[in-house]
Amino acid sequence: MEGINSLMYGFSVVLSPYNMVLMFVGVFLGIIVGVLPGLGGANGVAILLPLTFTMPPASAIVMLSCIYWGALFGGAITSILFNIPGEPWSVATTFDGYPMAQQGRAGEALTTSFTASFFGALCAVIMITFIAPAVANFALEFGPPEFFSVYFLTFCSFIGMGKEKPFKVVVSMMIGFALAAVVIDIVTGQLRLTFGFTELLRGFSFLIAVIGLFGIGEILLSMEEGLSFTGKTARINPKVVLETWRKLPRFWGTALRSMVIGCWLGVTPGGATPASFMAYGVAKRISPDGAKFGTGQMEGVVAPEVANNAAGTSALLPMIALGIPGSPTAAVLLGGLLIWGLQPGPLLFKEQPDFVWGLIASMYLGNIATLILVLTCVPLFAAILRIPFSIIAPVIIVICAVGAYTVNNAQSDIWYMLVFGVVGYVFKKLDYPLAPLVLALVLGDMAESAFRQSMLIAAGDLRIFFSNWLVGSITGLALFALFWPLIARLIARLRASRSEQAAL
Amino acid sequence: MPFYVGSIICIGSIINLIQAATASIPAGRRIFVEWGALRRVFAVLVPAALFVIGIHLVGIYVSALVYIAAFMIWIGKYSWHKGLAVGFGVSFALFLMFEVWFQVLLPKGAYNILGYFGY
Repeated sequence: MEGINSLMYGFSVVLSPYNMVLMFVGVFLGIIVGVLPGLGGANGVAILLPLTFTMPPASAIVMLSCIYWGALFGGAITSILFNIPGEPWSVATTFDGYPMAQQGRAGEALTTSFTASFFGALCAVIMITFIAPAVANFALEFGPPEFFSVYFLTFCSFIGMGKEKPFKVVVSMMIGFALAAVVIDIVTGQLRLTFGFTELLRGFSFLIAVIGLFGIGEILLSMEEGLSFTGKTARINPKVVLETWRKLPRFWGTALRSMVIGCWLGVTPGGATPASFMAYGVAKRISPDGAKFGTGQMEGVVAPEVANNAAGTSALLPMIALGIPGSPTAAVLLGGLLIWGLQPGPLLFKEQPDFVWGLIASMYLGNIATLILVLTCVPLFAAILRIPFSIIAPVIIVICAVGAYTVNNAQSDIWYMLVFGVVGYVFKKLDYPLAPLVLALVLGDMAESAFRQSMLIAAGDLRIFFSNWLVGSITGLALFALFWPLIARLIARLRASRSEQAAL
Repeated sequence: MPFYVGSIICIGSIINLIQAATASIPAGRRIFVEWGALRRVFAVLVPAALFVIGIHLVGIYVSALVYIAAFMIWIGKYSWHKGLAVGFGVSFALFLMFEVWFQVLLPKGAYNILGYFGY
């Protein structure tokens, strides 16, 4: 019941006219960002972050998180109408969404996807409302070893659970750590890795990395492919919406399963993209219409959309409760906290209740606002995509440059952004994942200080990470995640040999 | 710390190299990038670099105007008045948003042309 009281308090913070306007502005910008190629949740939030410096933190986070909701919903519009996923997490939506649009059922597909997104996000927010305070309370007991083991779990699950080759994840992550290590050795206070260049004394801001890697890199990639957008038109009227809503309750089983998958992969840092693929795969296997998937089944739109929004939303749980982001976008929001002068971590619930409960309340309202906006404005957003790429590309690069400059008011950052853009392009071509690099850049300092503090406590004895059941189980879980590819291969081999025996 | 990080990068890269060298690559993916595609990539990258140099010289607003207009005219094959209109519109919108409404100052370069208008 305490949760509900705090939530009501949060609503009282958010429900001011100023915040409501910011909310709609945020959602609107977010959908545009989600629809445009080259701009996504992470870099959209990073670019707009400087605009919020003068706002009170609660209003700032309302606007930024609403940009994120908008981007989560908006990615589906391009997948369904244009067969181009605006965001990596909406790739699975194209499998059944685009065929539906081809059959002239675009309105139905969009309504399905928005409603499913809304359901997924809502479930995740309810989970956050009740679980996050408990997790934060629990984490108040954490010392440096516990915190390091949680960071370690984050990094290991990226290596073991990612789609990419484990060693590519390792290299990408370590480059992030190397960039994070520039400037100051936190324990001894000495300068390091600056090689005498005064320009390097500011270090590398991860916001610049996000804007360059995801924004400029994506533009270069789409330019290489020479995209021309040809899409289906969609008109949504209340009749289509109501008819679709009447059909949707049949898929409650799929929705629930996908919701659980999404929440789970969102909290453990797996992210929205694997969640949407996994949910699609599971739905295909379990559904009686599984064989027809890929030809325009509503169920095939419901599954990935519920999962990716549930995952994207629940990725904020570790960010709020522990100060550890589960996705690049959550990392950018975390960077925002630091800039607004808030210390992320379990104490946030006690010290800044306005901020935390305002954020959670804005998740409920923001999702409702997004649902209303997307259902009413689809033709407008689809029209944005018809603007030729040779206009969009320079405009996006200009916007990225403005965003990169305003982070630190430094012109050299714009150059770094271009360099990161080229790196992002090459990484994408070679199948190196970008998210681990960004997370390592954000968490590098914090993870290092947690590690070195625990080493100081234990006088260099690594056994401190197994010294009580709490650290021990988290570290154990991390090692399990790290070696998961090997374990999975072993299980597969055992199973294969057993089935051979059975065949004999 | 940096030493260990560097060593892990080296070890990881060697393993990746071995995996890449021994893996069989499907025929369609052997080439990293085609020449035509590379030219399109540079068509974005080089003007973008010029744009950043322009920021140092004449500031972000003027540079953005010229960059968007030039990109549309040469690469998008638009007529010059369309290019100029979009370029002007975008940088004017940026100007209003940052300089006037949110009061975030953007770089105006060594040769500030907007100075003649009182900014």
